[in-house]
Amino acid sequence: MVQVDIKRKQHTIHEITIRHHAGYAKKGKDLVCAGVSCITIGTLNALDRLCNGKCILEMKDAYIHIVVKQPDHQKTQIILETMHMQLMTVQEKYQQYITITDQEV
Amino acid sequence: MKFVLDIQLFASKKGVGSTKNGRDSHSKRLGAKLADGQKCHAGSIIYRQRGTKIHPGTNVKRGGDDTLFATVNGVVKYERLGKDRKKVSVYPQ
Repeated sequence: MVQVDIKRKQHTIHEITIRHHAGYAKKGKDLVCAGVSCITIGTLNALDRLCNGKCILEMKDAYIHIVVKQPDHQKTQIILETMHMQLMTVQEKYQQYITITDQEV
Repeated sequence: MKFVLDIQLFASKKGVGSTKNGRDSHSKRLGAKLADGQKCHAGSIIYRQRGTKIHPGTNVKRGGDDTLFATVNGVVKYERLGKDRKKVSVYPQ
């Protein structure tokens, strides 16, 4: 099950961690993983291109970590909230394969 | 793009293991070729086998591959041999 942890301060996103395997099917046929991978890697490239330097971006096998250095940067927040919505859309249909926690720290 | 898409980034790594099985030899069509009570000619094959599942009886010989064959014309008879074994014989009519 893919785990998405979102950490906020005063409602703005400060950190997002996405890890673990979806386990929907074997590698190469895992649809949930494909959806999550497209959403998250696309978001990384968007943050890298459009909000250069505002975030620390890390990607490893079954692991993505985003740390927002400048939380008040509106474009960054919009991109991250968009990713959040997209992941929630996936979760709506595949609850047993992706879980999202959204907490105020 | 800085981050290259791996569309299975969150897929489990347990790939399909390779199996060491999946081989089999061609079947050799062993077993009875003539049934009990059937007529046969000298030389006709009665039973194909490995080892002596069935032993040669009267007028029956065993070939090099344990095949049982008739040595006279007659009728095939499957009989018991001792407590728990079988034999096949051919009785001229």
